[in-house]
Amino acid sequence: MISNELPNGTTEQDRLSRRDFLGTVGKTSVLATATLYSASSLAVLTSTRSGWAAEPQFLILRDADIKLFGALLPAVVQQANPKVDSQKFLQSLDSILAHADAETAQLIQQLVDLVTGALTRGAMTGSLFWDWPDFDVQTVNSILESWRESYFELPKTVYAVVTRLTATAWYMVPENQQITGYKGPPKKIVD
Amino acid sequence: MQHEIEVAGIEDPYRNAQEKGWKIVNASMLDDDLVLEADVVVVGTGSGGGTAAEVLSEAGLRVVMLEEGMLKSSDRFNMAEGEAITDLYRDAGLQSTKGEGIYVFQGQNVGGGTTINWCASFRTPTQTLRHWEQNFGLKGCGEDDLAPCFEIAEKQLNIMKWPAPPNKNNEILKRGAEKLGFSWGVIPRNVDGCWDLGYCGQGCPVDAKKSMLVTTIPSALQQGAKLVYRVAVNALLREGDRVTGVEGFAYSQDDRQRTGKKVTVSAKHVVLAAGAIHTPGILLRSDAPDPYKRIGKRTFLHPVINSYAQFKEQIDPYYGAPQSIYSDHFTWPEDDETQIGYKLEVLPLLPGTYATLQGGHGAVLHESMTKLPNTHVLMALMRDGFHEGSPGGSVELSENGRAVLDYPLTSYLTDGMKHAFETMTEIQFAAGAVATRIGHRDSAWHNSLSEAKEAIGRLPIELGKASISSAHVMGGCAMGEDETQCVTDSEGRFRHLENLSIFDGSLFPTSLGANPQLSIFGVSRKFATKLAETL
Ligand SMILES: Cc1cc2nc3c(=O)[nH]c(=O)nc-3n(C[C@H](O)[C@H](O)[C@H](O)COP(=O)(O)OP(=O)(O)OC[C@H]3O[C@@H](n4cnc5c(N)ncnc54)[C@H](O)[C@@H]3O)c2cc1C
Ligand code: SF4
Repeated sequence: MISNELPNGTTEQDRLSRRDFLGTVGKTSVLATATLYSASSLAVLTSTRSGWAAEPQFLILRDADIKLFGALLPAVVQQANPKVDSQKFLQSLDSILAHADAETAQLIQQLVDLVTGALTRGAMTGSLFWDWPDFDVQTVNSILESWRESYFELPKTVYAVVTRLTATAWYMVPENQQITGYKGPPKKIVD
Repeated sequence: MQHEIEVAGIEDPYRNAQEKGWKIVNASMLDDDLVLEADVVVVGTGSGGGTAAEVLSEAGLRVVMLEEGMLKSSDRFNMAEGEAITDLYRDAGLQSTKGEGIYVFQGQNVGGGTTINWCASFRTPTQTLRHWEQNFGLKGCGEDDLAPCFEIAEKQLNIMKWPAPPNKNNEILKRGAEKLGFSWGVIPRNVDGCWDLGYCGQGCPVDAKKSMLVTTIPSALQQGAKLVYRVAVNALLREGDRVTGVEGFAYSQDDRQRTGKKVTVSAKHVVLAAGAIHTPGILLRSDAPDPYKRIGKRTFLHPVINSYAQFKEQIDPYYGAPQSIYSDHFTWPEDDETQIGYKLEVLPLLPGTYATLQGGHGAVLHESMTKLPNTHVLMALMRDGFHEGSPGGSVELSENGRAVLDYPLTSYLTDGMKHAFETMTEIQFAAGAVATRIGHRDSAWHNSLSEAKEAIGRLPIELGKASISSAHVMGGCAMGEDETQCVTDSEGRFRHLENLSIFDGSLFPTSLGANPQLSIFGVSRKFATKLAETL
């Protein structure tokens, strides 16, 4: 796929057409997600289990998680250049998922599989050809909004889970906390 | 300002644990299965378990405490929000009711909720005790019966009304309430030598907070009790109708993986104090007899909704004693039929907490976050369980045996929430807010009370839209004499099995209408004292 060159090489035209696409496929996606709306089909979608980390520095995060949350980050936290700290963000996310109940981590990763997996991504994102790292911020934003406003439970759940997790993991990193004007805790000295 | 303070010179009581002869086992390091014997095994080391362990060891009984969470104490409390949430909170702060519903915060560490709670210490309201007596046949738990136990806890934990000025966040509640003629009061706190830092929710770095971690648990250890942490009790061991002990799995230190090692404790008596949701979970996993199907039913949350306000003045809602002012003006309305009661307090708003509670994405989230130092936050805690319109939730087991709470919203609750949103907004504008926003996904910031009220009237209160959370889980193993409703008697003894007691927040037949810890210290002390006499 040409996808690796995107989003930098993307023209405004591409963006618009992709957004249109999202609009029309949005309707089909509703149908597709309706059929996916059951725990058993979620289970089938899970190709990997939590704990199978992609990179040695992560306990839990897999390639799919990194791809998705990396793409969501700029749209969720609206930082001028969130790429700078995406490593710390991913570490924070990894730590949260590693310490969460194994079942929680697994459920979250099932939702990640749903929106990144080859079979279901098209229905959930409205884009059959492009993958998460290819989307620009506006596209990610439209996808998030379509989930949020969906008539169906599953996309709404995905929206609530992934946005909250992204914002939480980002704002738990001490360096990112300073963006809010919070000056940090007292200095702790153990003697 | 707090960030300029240096915290030093604190002597962590666990530093010389070995020299003191304290018996502490980290189950994550076990090479083999661990088998222990005791007079009493106490499962969970929070408000209920910590208190019980001390009382029972003082009585000369051989006690083993089992705790699922980590042992972390003041030397390692660095006030970082991210580290606290992963190391000290259940499910790394992600626990929610079924279907992305209500966010439920519980402590998971040695000390349980008391290590990370915000120090508010109220006795059980008289109205609540009366309600339990009348509706659940609870005996021997009147105001006078519990008073001696409350007095002991208040003395031991130095509970008194916060003597210093409230921080800005709390002061605004007082200011707004006064303007509107609402009653308010000063919160009693369990602290001694408090530095007014504000990090009670991350583990007090100076051991000023008199949590179980630094009071009853060290006292039990000093008297020979044994503590095994990083072990999650799976089920009770039984011989017919008799409980003979418990069995649990060891977990690794830094993540939620089972190590494959088992911990088994046989004991004359078992005390479950794993907290609401999880004590019922152990009973359900153990297939405990339950003729009226009451285990885990009527679990309450004091469901919390928030209202945020922006002020011209700097508030720094994260610094200073987190909770020092409350208002009970709306807690006990004259007529429960038309209006659920709610208590008003504030909460410490660190960046991660703010992001978690708000949810959402993009511009609105960003705008709110970057105004944090000038942001005020109120919360209303709904007094659930006193009316048929708020029957609470039920604990269920997932396929893997995990205890999860199903807590549907009712119109009685959501009507009350609308009322509370309006009240909070009124208080904030009365105190001088320039804009307010309710904790709801679709809420905008509003510059006037009328605009804000119009929006509150319009926004639907639904799970996933309104941001609803809880830090007070109660009920699910009601106590009382009415056996059709209560799984324990009026002393916390489980009705349908021998040698089993429950001493934690799951005992409460309804919510409390006040922050729970002192109520739990009180009943646990009373019931454990009684139990010790019989063993
Ligand atoms: C952020 C926050 C702030 C709060 N602020 C206040 C406040 O200001 N005032 C107040 O009164 N209350 C407050 N609370 C609530 C209060 O701390 C709890 O209601 C109280 O501690 C509950 O006591 P408990 O004994 O029922 O359970 P907990 O204190 O929750 O203790 C239960 C313990 O059992 C352990 N456990 C669970 N399952 C198992 C298992 N299977 N095996 C072994 N161990 C297990 C848990 O890890 C936990 O440590 C707050 C709570 C939170 C989360
Ligand atoms: S406010 Fe007081 S009790 Fe809370 S963390 Fe700071 S010093 Fe400890």
